[in-house]
Amino acid sequence: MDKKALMDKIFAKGKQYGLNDMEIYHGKDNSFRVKIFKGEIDNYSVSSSEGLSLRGDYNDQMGYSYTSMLDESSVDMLAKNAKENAQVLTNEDREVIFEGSKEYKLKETYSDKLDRVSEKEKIEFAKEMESKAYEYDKRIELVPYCSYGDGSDEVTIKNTKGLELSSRSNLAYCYVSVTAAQGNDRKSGTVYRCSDDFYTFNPGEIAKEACDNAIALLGGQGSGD
Amino acid sequence: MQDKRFIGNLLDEALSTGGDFAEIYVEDTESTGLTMLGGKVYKASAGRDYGVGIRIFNGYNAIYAYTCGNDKEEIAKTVKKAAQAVKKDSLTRRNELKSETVDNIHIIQIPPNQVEKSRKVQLMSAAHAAAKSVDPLISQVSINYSDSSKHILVANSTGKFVEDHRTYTRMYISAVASKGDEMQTGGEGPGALSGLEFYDTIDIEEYARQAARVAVTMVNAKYCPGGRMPVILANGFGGVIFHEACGHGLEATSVAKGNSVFAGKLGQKVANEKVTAIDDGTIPNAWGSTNIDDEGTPTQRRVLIENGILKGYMVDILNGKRMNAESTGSGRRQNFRYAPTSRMSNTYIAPGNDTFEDIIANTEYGLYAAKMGGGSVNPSTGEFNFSVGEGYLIKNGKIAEPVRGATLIGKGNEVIQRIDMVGDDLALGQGVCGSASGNVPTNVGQPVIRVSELIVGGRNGDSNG
Repeated sequence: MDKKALMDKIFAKGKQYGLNDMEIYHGKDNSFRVKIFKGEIDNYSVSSSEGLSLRGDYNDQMGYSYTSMLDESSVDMLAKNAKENAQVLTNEDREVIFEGSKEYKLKETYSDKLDRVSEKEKIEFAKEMESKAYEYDKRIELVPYCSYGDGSDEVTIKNTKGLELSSRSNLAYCYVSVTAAQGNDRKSGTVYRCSDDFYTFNPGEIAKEACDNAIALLGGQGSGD
Repeated sequence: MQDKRFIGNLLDEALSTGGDFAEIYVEDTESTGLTMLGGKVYKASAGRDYGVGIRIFNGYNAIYAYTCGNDKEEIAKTVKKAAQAVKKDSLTRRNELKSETVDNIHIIQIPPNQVEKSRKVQLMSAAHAAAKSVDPLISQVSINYSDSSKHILVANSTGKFVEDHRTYTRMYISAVASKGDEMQTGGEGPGALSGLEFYDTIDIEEYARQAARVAVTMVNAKYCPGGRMPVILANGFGGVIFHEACGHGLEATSVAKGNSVFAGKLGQKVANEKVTAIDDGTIPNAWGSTNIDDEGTPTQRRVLIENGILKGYMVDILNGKRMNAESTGSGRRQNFRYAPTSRMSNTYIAPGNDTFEDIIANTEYGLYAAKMGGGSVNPSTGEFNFSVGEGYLIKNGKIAEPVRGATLIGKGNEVIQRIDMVGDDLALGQGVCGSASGNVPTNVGQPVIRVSELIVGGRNGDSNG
């Protein structure tokens, strides 16, 4: 069902249940992640996700409901639950629906450049990050976790006071965890980076930092020793 | 939830590019959450989460994709996208789907969604009043109530087609005691794989009083001295140390890749002979139980360590392939947004022959950790640190003054070698375990145990700090 039509139906149903001011928060996201283990793609995941939550004022209390089933079958459930939840609230602070500001400053939170990075480049990056870690020092025994991921999301807020806004953003991240061993001593080091520019990630530099973190801990004594 | 023919078509599509195993997981969950602070209900929410997860194996590697909602076109599109990540010439044919019947051992008498929310609020109000009544030092009480009803379907290319229902209910009570500038908290969170009848089997007001009593005791306590000493860990939630520092290392998720101190040690002595540890997903209505795991395999009672000897691991299908081992019904996930992997269910150290009184009497000096707080663990090495929520010094074989601010520091595989006394009073405590496949309900547990020596982080060399 068309998103706008669905929102209008939910507001209409809410009115029938006696809800006064109402607001819908709609979120949609996509994600990609690849995990490398010993040079192979250990795990590859993609997702598309969508959900909607309703909040509505009933007798000066704000009830909430939500669903990830965006079709006609959810309309009644959302309105009914929002009303029932408002009925059990005894909150003395009144929560109100905001009609919105007069103006909004535009902020750039979406990188089209990130969208253009190919899946092949992402996988090669993660593989290189792992191989650089193994090559860095013979004490690096294992790279148990090496991954690259990115995601984008889009949020729309619409209420019965006339506010209707949306925004979108995207981000990429990488994570590497290494285990260094010396005799019976094993220590781990990790590095996590995130950016909206894939090309700022340097696989060799990130791997080096994780390895240095682990190696620096070898031979350390626990407190109380 | 979804018809067999549609699921069959999805599995065919998933295998069409050369995958050697495919699985479809469908989930429909209804949840309710209520929050009370200072006796007022200030947040109430309810909703439905519906989605489909698709998993394809390509050798030892896995592809996972998911989508929300019930739009068949969108689901088919997601399966196709996942399949495109595999490119092999040889094709695997799936078996015909055959419906399996689940033997339901977790009977639900009062489904939470058939109970008015006002009844749930009554329970919360009773708990709030009980906690407040303990002492004037109790400055705040917060209560979180939650219930959920989850319906799942698992189908895979071996022909499995099985559904299960899970109903959870839980209440978490947190009390804060304030004295001057000092604040201390106590918390209790009973929960079960059960309907609202769970509250007829427990005294929720007693749990609330217990949370408040801990907060008051600790706000009046002096700081714990630091150093190496024997530590007695109380039954129930004291098992969180075994769960975190040893349990995760016994999951195939870690073992299959050699990322565990227990990898390759089957049949070897890894703990004191007094230690037997079990993971049991079949305990009726227990918080960590299910009829089947999230890969459709029936859950089991699994002996992990028997009299100190490593006997087994917790194994899921994919890591089982890597280890050449059968699944132990341990494949779990928070919801359809996560691929399953091996996880604990109800994991505990089995009871021994020592009594609580004997253990205390046989300890000249040490720390009694009556309640555990939060902590962190490095899964690769088993190194951990945990705060003690309620602690007492032991002097001359007797429980002496309460102490606060204690931290326990150690290594899981070393600590289980040093468990030299095991009590007879097994109890389980409810928690939510976070790991690779999300947050899942788990019971931790043990009888009272003594660790002959552990590093206790504290202040000063005595308890007068």
